[in-house]
Amino acid sequence: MSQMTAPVTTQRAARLPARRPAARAAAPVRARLRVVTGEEVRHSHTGFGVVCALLMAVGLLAVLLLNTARAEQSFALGNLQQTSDRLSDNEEQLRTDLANVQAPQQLALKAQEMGMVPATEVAYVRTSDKKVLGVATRAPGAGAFTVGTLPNTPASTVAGRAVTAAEQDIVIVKPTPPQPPTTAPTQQSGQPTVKQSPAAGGAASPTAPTTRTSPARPAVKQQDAGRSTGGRPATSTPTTGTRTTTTR
Amino acid sequence: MVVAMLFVFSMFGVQLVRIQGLEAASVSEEAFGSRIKRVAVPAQRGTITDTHGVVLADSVDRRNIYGDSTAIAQYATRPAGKGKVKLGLPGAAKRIAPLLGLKESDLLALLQRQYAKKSQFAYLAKDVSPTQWRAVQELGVPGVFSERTVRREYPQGTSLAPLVGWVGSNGAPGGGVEALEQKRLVGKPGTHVYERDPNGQVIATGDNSDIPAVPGKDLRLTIDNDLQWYAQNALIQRVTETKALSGDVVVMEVKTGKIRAAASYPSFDPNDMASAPPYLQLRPFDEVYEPGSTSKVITMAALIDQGYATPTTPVTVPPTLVRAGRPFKDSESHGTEHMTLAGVLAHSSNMGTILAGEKMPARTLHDYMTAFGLGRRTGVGFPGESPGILAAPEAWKGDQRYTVMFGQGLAGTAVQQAAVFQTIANGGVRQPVSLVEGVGDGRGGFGAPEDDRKPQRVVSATTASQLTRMMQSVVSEEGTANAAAVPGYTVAGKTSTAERYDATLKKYSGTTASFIGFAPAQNPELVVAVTIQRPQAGIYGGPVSGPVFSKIMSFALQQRKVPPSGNAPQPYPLTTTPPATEQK
Repeated sequence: MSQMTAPVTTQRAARLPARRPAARAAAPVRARLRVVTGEEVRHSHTGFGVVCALLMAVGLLAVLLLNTARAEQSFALGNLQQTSDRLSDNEEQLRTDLANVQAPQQLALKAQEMGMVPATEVAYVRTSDKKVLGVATRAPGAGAFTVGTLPNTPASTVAGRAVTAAEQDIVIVKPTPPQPPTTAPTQQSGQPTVKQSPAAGGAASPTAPTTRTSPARPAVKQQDAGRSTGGRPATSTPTTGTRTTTTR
Repeated sequence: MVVAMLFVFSMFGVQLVRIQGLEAASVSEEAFGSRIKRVAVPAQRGTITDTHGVVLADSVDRRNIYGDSTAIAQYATRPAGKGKVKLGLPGAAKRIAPLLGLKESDLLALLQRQYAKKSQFAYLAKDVSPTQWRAVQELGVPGVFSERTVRREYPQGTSLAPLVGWVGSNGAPGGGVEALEQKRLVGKPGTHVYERDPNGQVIATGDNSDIPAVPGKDLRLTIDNDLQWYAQNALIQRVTETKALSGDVVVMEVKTGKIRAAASYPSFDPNDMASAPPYLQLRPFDEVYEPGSTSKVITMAALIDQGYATPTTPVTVPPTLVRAGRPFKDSESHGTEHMTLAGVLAHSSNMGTILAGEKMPARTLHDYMTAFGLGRRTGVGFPGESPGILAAPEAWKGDQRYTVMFGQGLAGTAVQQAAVFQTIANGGVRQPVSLVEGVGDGRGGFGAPEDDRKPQRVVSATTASQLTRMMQSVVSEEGTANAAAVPGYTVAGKTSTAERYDATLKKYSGTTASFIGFAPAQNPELVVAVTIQRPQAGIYGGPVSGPVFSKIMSFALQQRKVPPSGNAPQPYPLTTTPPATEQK
């Protein structure tokens, strides 16, 4: 406060000499010096004080508001960051799930389930002379094609998780069907046609339409057991709804 | 009294000067040191994709969740309108367990065990997804933390496992491309430095600097994932049907030498290495066997290229033939037959090959074998890749001089054999075998990997086309492999039924049944080599491996939209009328 009053006193000092010569020139009669009363000075001082106080209050308020705004923005930033993290985590999760269900063996199983068989031969029609090139015969019936590259990966991910859990004496909720067929292709003898194996391809039997209409396939159930508990609900659910329409 | 007061205050003053003035730097250093925390930021390992960008191996973020049981015991919530409700360990276990896929009772038991020991550290779950961890975090249970880990995922599972390899839990590559390209795939870890308070909370205004991690380079392989899976699946079916020991398939692009598929069975699941069998290698590169009759192609190539014979040169094959003190026979006994050189190849006559091949010095044959790539590595550098076994001609002992002509007494890999056929299919020019098509530049693009290997001419274009025509007969009705025919396309190929050396029995037992061929014969696209070891239902290359070849080749030609061959093959005559002068 002492610094603020300093200019006031100097101002007053500057004003006094300025008034003096003017007074002397205009009215030589009243050339008497007079003591300036404190009231005159005090009056201007109070006004200035109010201005200062106001300025300070405004300044403080501004700082407060700015700080609040900054804090708010940093919260917003944090939230957005978190949302971004969550979304990118979800994206990664979905990408992984997609890569898993996109694998050719999974597609082959799905196709089989819908009663499709691979076209062994195709013929082409040449547009220039409408000639048929190559030979095409009827595709072989169902059962001619088997998928032998299981274990499918989502199931084995669950299996892997169970192994990890066992290492730290925590038991994961056991998937319903027993495990052995999931490891079949890794054994030397192997199961000849693993498409019927309950663990991974349980739903893959095109010959049993009844299993298709049943609400939950073993494989899906198993994945869900691993997933819903594992917070990965996305993979198998969208496909289950459309399956009942398959005919052969 | 005043003196005492002054004395005390002067002491304060001295301390003030000492701390703020004299020792300021070291004290603040010490404080900073206690606040600072360095955390390694793992580098993202490069993604491996197939030629079309399908993910074969990918790294995903995972979390290991650990907890301080003494802090978790303080778990409490404040439901709306009520006061603090203490939930403790049972409440925490009840809420956390379903999120982590754990059994509530097991988690509670673990926590209680830890709490009884006053333990402040125990893993609650390993390898959970970030979304799961987030859900756990949102519960607000005190004393539950997580550490970041990275998990390598292989969406294609068993079909590519030996080729792509795997990464161990310590981050070290375990084989396959993961090991081959480790230097490119692995990035450089970074460091995250921040200040934290004694409770571990990050100080927002503190120093916060990062040395960012440099991610590894992405890799694009020459492999076609669909074809790879189809080949693997067809192979598995046939190996199981024929009760064979193992098998492998190589699909190679004729014009580029790129490997489009390399199947190996039995395989394993790279996502679950705990269940993996002991043999984890990629057979086409790493397994060495005596190739048998597919090697006759090299003998014929040398003979024709050096002008010792033409495809129609008559060869009179007696019922038995004695060379180097031992009798040689063909797989089917026959009387004296009058064949052409093309007939010798179509019927895969050992005696005929010896009779024609012995006109040529051993050194010449050896030179051709080397030129075709036998006895040396492909240059791909695949982990565990074998150069095969090819002795120098001076070291050929006893009957070896004769047996090498039909592929016994030397050994190689399936990739080497496929490369021989690639050379012939490509008009006699051998392309370097390749497996990696592109290396990521970090901006989404791919550049070709460095390679100083050059294409090499091994035989003349005329020799190559004559051999191709000869090999078309193999797949004909009279040949040894009509099962390998691909409807609508002309196929050139060669069967092999080699005696297999069984390392466990330490003697020859069983056979190696293989078929290698390419199609369409006029303008070859792909070489497919199918090898099945020790089949028990059927032993011959044609019937055992031929059907697998036919399936895979049909699929591949369809997939590549190769137009069917217009003209039927015009084979050379396989037999000759008995000539007046008997040929030795």
